[in-house]
This record gives sequence, structure tokens and C-alpha cells, in this order.
Amino acid sequence: MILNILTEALEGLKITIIGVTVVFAILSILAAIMAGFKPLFYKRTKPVKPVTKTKEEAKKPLGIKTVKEKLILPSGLSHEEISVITAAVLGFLEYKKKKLEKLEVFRELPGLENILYVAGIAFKARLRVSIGGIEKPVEVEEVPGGFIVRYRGKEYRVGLKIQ
Amino acid sequence: MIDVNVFTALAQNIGILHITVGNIVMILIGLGLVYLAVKKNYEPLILLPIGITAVLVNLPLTGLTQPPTGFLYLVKHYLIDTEVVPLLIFLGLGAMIDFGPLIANPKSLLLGAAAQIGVFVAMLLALLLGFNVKEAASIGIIGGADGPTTIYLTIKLAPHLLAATAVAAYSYMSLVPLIQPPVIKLLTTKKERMIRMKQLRPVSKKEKIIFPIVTMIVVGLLVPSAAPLIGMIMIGNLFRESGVVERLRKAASEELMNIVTIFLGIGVGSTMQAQTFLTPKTLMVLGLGIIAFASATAGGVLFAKLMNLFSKEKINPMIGAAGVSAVPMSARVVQRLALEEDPENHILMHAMGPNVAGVIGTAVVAGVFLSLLGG
Repeated sequence: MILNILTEALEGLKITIIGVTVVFAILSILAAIMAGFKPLFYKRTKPVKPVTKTKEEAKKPLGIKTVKEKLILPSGLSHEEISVITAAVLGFLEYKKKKLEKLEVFRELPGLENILYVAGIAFKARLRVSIGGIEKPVEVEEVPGGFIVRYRGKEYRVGLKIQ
Repeated sequence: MIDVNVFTALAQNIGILHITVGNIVMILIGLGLVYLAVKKNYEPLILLPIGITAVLVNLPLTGLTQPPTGFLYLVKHYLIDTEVVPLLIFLGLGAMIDFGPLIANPKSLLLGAAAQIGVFVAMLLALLLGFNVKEAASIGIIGGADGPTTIYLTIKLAPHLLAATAVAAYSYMSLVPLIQPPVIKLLTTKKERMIRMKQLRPVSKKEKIIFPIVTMIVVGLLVPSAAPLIGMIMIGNLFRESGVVERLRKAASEELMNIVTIFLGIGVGSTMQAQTFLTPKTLMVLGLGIIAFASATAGGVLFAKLMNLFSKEKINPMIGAAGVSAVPMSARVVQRLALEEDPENHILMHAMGPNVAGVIGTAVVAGVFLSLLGG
């Protein structure tokens, strides 16, 4: 009887070793594959390098200079795109606010709005923003930490951090 | 004149004259499950049909479980024993699950694998208690906290334990909020429970479409015996993520899911007859089930702590506990514990990663058992 139990336990141990190895191996392979796919579908925006002064620049005495103001735009974005994105996000926030206002619970507890995303509820809207009298169709979607704005087949990620 | 034989025949067909103590105990157990479902809201969708069917099958002379025409016999024989229902449940489950948090953080898959350690701990204990290997594997899989997988594996390896393992799996799944917190708190410090994690990156639609296809192919090629379970869940998930078959997604996750849940409940309940359920083995299965859940939780938490030793970005070790695949219950438990320590620490989405990874992990373990022990 005891011998039988021990034999079965040894077989169980063998199955355990094989089982644990196989489960970890397969899920690791899947993890590696999905991590490999990441760069193909998800491109991070490059962080802007902080401006550092060279030693010579740092040594120069400070003086009042009249410098012609330069308009610096994030790389690759035109004025039109920036204005459309800004208008789209503002419009989206207004749309979301109006939607939530219809529900009594959000009128009484406006703070609940902040935990909607945690509960898996995200808003998405198709809007028409008018710039210079021309209507432009855009799509805005809530994602963690900001929004995705889709305009003319392109996707723009807008980050939002509350200090 | 009244014929005495008519009375005799009538008396012989009165159920109450044939009821046994075992039947009465089982009726009480069935009513207990109904009570838990109705009053305590413990997995009502499955425990209510199981409980009330257990009452029904223990009423004598109903013939409901008698082959070849008893209704409950037909349900069990054609829908449960053939594995149709557990697999369709997986299809519906796939249509309901969002693998986004898992894709955003693929390391979660390892936590899902670590929680499967509970399955093997319970299996080894079952072997030491005198169960044979096939029975022990069916008991161990309870630790995966995945009802359909437990049923699927038990039907193939130890069908006589179906009622006990199914009841244990679903009962303990509903008791996750009671089983997991003490284990988590025992294995983590307050500081660890307060670790805040970086927000997950957004996941594109393409990634969500590719994930089920890749998973199905990889698992199908490496562990073919897990392919039915993984295949169905991934087909359901593709319905969801493709966005082009909304009707199918809705049918799989709502109408079909509801129908198969009814059949699963009454099919499992029909196996809860006194003569098969009231055995010392059932008590041992229930005891081992709770050990399986607790050790699965411990496995996930300890592995998360191990990962923290080697990774730059610290993870909150509590999310390892969500590796038991009680979706989304264990993730919610983890979120609640995190909020208890720090009201602004929302880790629900981080916990959802290991949670859905646990579903895949449990299906893979079931596949390994089937490969090694035969169906």
C-alpha cells in the first residue's frame, strides 16, 4: 500500500517537473513573441532631449539680446494638425462631460468620472471640428494617460499629466 | 370493490417510501448551494443550477438520470461527457476577455505560469492521500480556478470525481475574496503592497488581433492536447477583437454562453447523486481544493517577488496572486488590497494581465496532464 503510494508520488513528481517546465516554457515563448511584436505596432514618441549648454556658451556673460521669436513645433506636425488635435481633445472633453451629466450619479459625485477608466469604461467619439469654417471629421479615444486622435488616416497620441 | 393491488402499486411508486438518508443529506447539500447562490451571491450562475439539480436527482424514482431516455442522463451524456459544453464555455469566455493588459505587459504571462504551481502542490498532496495519478491531476487542476478546464479534464481522467471537483472549483472561485487576502498579506510586506506600477501602454487593435492567432498556433503546435481549450478561447477572442463579426461575438458571449451555462449547471448537478457524491473522497477533494487555491496564490506572489529581484521596474507582488484564473475576481481582490494600503494605487489593469494569463496557463497544464496521462 505505502509502496504503491510512493510509486504514484514519484510519478507525480515527474509530472510536476515536466508540467512546470512546459508551462513556463510555453508562456515564456508567448511572452517573447508578444514582446517582439511590440516595436512593430507600438512606436513610442522619442523623448525630447534637454537643451544643454556647451562650456563656451556657459562662459559667455549674460546680456540682453533681442532675439527674433521662433515658433517651435513638435517634429513633423503642421499648424493645421496641432489646431485640429487641440480642438478635437477640447471637443471630446465637452462631449464626455455632457454625456456624464445626464446621469444623476455623476452630477452628485463628479469624482466618479476619474475611476471610470479603472473600471474598464473608456469613451470614444467621432467629432467634427470646425477650423476656419471648414469642418474636419476626427475620432478621439481615451487611453491610459491621454487620448488618441485619429485624423485623415493618421493617429496622434496626446499625453495628459495632472501635476 | 377497490383492488388492493392498485394500492400496492401506488405505494411502490411513492418516492418518499424510497428515500434514503443519503438522499436527504444530498438534498440538504443542494439546498445549501442554492442558499449560497441566492443569499450570498456566490457564483449564482453556476451554483444555483447545480444546487437545485442536486435536489432534483436525489428525489427517488424520478428516472431523470436513467439511461437511455432520462433527461438529465441525455444532458450529461451528450453535452458534458462529450466535452461540448466546457469547450463552448471557453468560446464564450474568449469573446468576453480583454487580453490588452497582458499584451501591454507580456511579463504577466510568467505570473500566470507561476500560479499553476498550486495545481501541482495539490496533485502531489492528493497522491500522498492515496488518490491515483489521474484522480490527483483532476483534483490539482481545481487550483487553476478555472471551472470549465476542471470539468474538461475531470471528464477525461476521473469522471467519477466530476461532481466533487466541479463543486469545489466553483465554490472556491466564489470564495476567492476570503481565501486570497490572508495568503497575500502573509507573504508580502506593507511596503511591497504599496508599490505603484507604471501605467500600461495602449495596445493597438492589430496586436489584439494577432495575439489570439499566435497563441492558438504556438500552444497548438507545442501542446496539441491543450489545443481544444486554447483554440476555442482564442476563436472567441478573435470574434471580439476583429470587430467585424459583432453578431458572432454577441452570440458567443451572451446567448450561447447563457445556454451552455444552464446545461453545464444541470449536467454537473445531475452527477450529485448520494451514492456517488457521499464518499470520504469527496471530503478530501474539497479539502485539497482549498489547499490548491491557497498554494496557487502563494506561487504567484512569491514568483512576483522573485521577479522584483531581477527587474529594474518593480512590480507590486500582489498582482502575482491574480495568476489564479478566477477572472476577474482575483484581480478585483488584488485591487481592493492595494487600495486598502494606498487609496490612490489603482492596480486593477496590472492584475488583469496575470489573471487572463492564468486562464492560458491552466489550459496548458490541463493539456500537459492529458498528454502524460492519456484521456
